[in-house]
Amino acid sequence: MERRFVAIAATAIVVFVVLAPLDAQQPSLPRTADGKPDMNGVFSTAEGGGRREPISFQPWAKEKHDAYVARKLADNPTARCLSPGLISLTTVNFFPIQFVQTRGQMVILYEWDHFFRVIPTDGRKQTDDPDPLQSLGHSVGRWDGDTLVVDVIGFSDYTWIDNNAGVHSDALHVVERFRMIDKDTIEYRAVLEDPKAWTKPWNVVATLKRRPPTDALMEYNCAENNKPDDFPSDDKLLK
Amino acid sequence: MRTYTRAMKTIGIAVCIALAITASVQGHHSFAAEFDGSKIQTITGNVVEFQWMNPHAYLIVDVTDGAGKTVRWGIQSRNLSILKRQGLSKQTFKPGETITVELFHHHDPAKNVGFARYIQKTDGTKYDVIPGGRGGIVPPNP
Repeated sequence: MERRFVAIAATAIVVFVVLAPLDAQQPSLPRTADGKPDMNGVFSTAEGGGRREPISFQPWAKEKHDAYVARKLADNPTARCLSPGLISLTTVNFFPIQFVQTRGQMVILYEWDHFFRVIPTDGRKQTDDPDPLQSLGHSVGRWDGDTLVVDVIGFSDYTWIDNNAGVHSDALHVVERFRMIDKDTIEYRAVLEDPKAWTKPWNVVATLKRRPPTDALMEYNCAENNKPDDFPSDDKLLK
Repeated sequence: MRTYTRAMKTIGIAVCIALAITASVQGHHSFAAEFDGSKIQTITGNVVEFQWMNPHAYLIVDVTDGAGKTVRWGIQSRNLSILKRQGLSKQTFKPGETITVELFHHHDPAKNVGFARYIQKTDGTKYDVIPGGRGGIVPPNP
């Protein structure tokens, strides 16, 4: 009896110690006027790419993925200056991103080829009709304590969701969690599901670190000086 | 008629120069499709041209081989914002100066083409142009 009590008490202490800080509001964080963690600023991952396991593809997607790999990734959409997709844009280490946070809205600017997202956080629901499909989908955010949770649907299917031929479909559904750990650090977690192309969810974890105050976003213009001849022509691309 | 011939000759030369310059500006392709991430090579030579431009900077370098023959290399680098953050500018490399480049070689061993990894000046200044991509890790696009 006594042993069982000790076990229950120990479990309770572990649960309290491990889980309580996740929900608690951290007093040390900088905050905006509406009390949210102030994420304004320029960030990038230090390591690049974040932590990720391989994607579990359904057979048709695996076949496509393998064919792209066999062609040494020559069909990568970014080689034609097309969208790198949500995960690469966010977790790349050499193109910073900037959070511009206002009441009811988070804007994320990506240095990589001028991409941006406007994420409403004003309580609206996700759209029932994500039309048109977009390379970065349709985002709706909400604050869960100190974590910004973003739901994204309505993706066009041509992007590689990771840089290594991450084939996906237009059924891709992403839930991102941006949690500010301290004034200079945001933990990024994303859970991606694709019932048409994958067999199980794919998880990404990355750490975004604040860049030095002098480090403003610059312009990376992929198309400038690129000539049509420079791109793999359509007939040479794997469909 | 003579004027016409001279004009044609001038245009011909101009077209040849334009083609030569264009040829030195390589395309924007997938790194993995073009370069061998495991084949690292170091070359030392004289800068012919430092092309500071989007989407990537390029270095044209003349290297004298063991037989005393000059071989021209085309070396791709990163985009300008990355290079700027690593301390480079359009003034960093002047025509004629000697540099040493550690590079990933093109898949085709016959091509004198590479993707820069480190670039070093004779005064010892060494630029890491694949920040975070050390240890033979193939840099992702772009």
